Amino acid sequence: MINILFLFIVYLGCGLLFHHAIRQDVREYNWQKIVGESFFIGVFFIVLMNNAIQFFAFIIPQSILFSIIAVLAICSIIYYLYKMKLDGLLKFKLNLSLLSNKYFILIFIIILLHLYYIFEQNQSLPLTPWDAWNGWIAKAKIWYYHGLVEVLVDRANWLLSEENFTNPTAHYPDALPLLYVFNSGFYGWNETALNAIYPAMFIAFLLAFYGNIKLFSNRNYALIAVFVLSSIPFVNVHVTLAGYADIWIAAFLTISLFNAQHFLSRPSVSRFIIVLIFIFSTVMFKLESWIWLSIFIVVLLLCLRNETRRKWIYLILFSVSVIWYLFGGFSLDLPFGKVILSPNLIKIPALGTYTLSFVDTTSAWIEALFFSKNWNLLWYSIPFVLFLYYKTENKELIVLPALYLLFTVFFIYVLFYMTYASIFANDFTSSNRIVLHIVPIYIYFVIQVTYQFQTERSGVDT
Amino acid sequence: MLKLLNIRFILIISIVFILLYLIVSYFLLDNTGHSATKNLLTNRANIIYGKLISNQTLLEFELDEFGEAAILFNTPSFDAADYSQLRLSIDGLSKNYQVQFVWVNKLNSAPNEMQLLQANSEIQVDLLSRAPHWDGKIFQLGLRIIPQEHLGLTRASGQTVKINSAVLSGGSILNSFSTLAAYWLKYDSWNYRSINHLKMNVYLPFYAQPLIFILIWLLLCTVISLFVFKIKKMNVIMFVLFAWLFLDILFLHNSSAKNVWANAVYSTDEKQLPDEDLNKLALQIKSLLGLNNDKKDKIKSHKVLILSSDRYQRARLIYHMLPVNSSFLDKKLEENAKTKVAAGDYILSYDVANNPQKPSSGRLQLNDSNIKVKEIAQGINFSIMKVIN
Repeated sequence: MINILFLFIVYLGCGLLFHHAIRQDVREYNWQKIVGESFFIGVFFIVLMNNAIQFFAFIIPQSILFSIIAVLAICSIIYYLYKMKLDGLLKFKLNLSLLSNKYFILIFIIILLHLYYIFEQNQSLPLTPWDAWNGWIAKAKIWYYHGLVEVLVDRANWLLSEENFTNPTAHYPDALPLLYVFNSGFYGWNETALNAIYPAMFIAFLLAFYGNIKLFSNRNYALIAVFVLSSIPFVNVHVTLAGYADIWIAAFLTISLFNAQHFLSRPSVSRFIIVLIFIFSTVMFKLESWIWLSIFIVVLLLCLRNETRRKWIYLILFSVSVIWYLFGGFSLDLPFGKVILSPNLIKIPALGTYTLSFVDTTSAWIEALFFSKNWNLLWYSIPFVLFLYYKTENKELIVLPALYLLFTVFFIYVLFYMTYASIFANDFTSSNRIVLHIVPIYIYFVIQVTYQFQTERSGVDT
Repeated sequence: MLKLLNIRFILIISIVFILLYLIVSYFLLDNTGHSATKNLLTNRANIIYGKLISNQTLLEFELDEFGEAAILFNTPSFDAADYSQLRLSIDGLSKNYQVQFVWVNKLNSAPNEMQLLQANSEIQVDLLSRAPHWDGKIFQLGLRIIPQEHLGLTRASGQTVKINSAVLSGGSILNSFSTLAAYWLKYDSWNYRSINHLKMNVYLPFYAQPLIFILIWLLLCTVISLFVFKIKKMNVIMFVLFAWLFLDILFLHNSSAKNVWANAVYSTDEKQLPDEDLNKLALQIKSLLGLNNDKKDKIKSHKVLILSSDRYQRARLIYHMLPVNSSFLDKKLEENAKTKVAAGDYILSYDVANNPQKPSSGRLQLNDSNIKVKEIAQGINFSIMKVIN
């Protein structure tokens, strides 16, 4: 427990002053949002710092680095609290009105129970998941012993090289191993202690989730959203069994979307910078995030247009897709290689060549989403949510997550029905994990649509 | 919101829940009408692995040196259709262990097995009728006690286990009312697959899975609420919340059990791993080659290539070898293996079935390549060789 709190404070302190400096209107914030998002900004800076150390081949022991950062982080938290007090913004008033409702007390207790079991097991178990010890964290262990400057190569090159190390995730982004290396500056190579970064991140994520949804709706809906998120079995598993990057992507992607929503409501440079930090953090964790980033850009551009123009764009997109399909796709000779986008083949230099042919993975998807223990009843809400979305008149706050989910579903369809990745849907090795990336966004969408619908019906804030 | 629900309505939806439970239990328990029982402890059972302590009214034994046990019940052959349940009570077995029921129903064929509910001193009812291959004539019956899959640690021998009762019986809803609930609350241990997929209970039919059960209940209550009682739609949200909570409580119950297990098994600072034998082998090899963590240059320049046909064992060995510069040699992948190794490299050949590939006359044959090596050390399941040129 102490490891979790300590790491939480270190990363929070790293991002707190930046978050404070860049924010504009204090009314747009609450302490949960500030604390939660500051943690993730801290993660971004620490990964960036270690990336720079790697790039410039600086020889800096992580123990010294961790000590300096930890002291600075604690100082920044103290300074922040002091400044808040000077500004009269820090009021030590404990608001317990939410807990005056007995149902919310029950929900709160259940959330705490989930966190308790996550913390206890996370801090007891050794490093368990396959890709963690085989890939991500093994990479961190090499750097822990041999320094961040150690270049990792793929196995084919390793066989030919004399002194290089290899790792199955050598070609993947390094954020997760770099976080482990940074924390090992304090804990040494103690995998169980190092795993504490996961529950620390989860606390931050729940706070950011609550804080943002509270701003878009109200605290009742925000608490229900946190309850739903924290009680999803598959989410619990990915925090408890540390070592995979998927839950990090889910968190960064969701917070990016929240901040994109704030940016759309009141565009400004500082809000845009925050969005950039969060969305680019996702690509620091996994290659797949480039797809999420591309979708994010498209959706953000669409949302910057008004509804009428958006409808025209949909029509154009649809027409282009039909023409593309009827003409058998197209190919382009670009300086960096040939790009082919056809109904049978996708070839993008650096990303690879994908033969497209339909493989039916529906039964595996039905089992994964509807008849397993992964998601509780979450996906049964789809018809209910679609109905509410259709019935809601003001879609200002729901169009962004709606479009994002729509595009990701399309991508998931192409990936798991049309490419060799269908194997990973049928054997359940990837399907649930890729769904995990968008689950918090979906929960936010469900809550926001329900709130919007209720507000429109009753005419008052529910 | 609860004010909207009057007492009569709450009573009715509760009754719907109980009735649904009874109906599902009835179909689940395969009520064949057979009332025969067979006490498996009547005749003296044979302990195949483990040490027998007492074989009187109850069976008392210790786990063997590998922390496992196997028991063979002495019983004449019988018809599987006569018995659909196993009533078992076992003392002294922690959550680190699972119990498997094993039977042979075709002579000269491999035994069938079924993982039983987590054993404890209370009588647990396991539904044999739901196990594949529980049919025809049963010739042999037994129990196997082994650590939980993947993450269960093998404990040292000396652990005393008591089988208080082991009875085969026919199905009856009257004395097996809680069986469905026991299956819902079944202990699911962590394993390497948990990170990818949490599947449903394989021994429960579709309609008896908690998720489907609660959905049926939700549907019935919604219909009753909207069309019979004509109460406001808000009730549906209450039902959904209850259904969500119901499934969440089942999950929390399992989390609590796993927490107890994790604290008991992995609470010490020295995290013993499920594949401790591989860890020890890696330590032994590192020490043998003088590759200690403080000699970083040496461990970097001495590559250790792991040769093993089992991908999992191979990957685990590479992990345990860290921070030594290690990866694998794959017979299927390496077309010209000779070009892939350099003089001074080490090849660790490992086979879990105690049949590692070893050099012959100072040469290791890999596909078409012949690598000149010197065997430095060897054991029953491994051989470590240094590449000469």
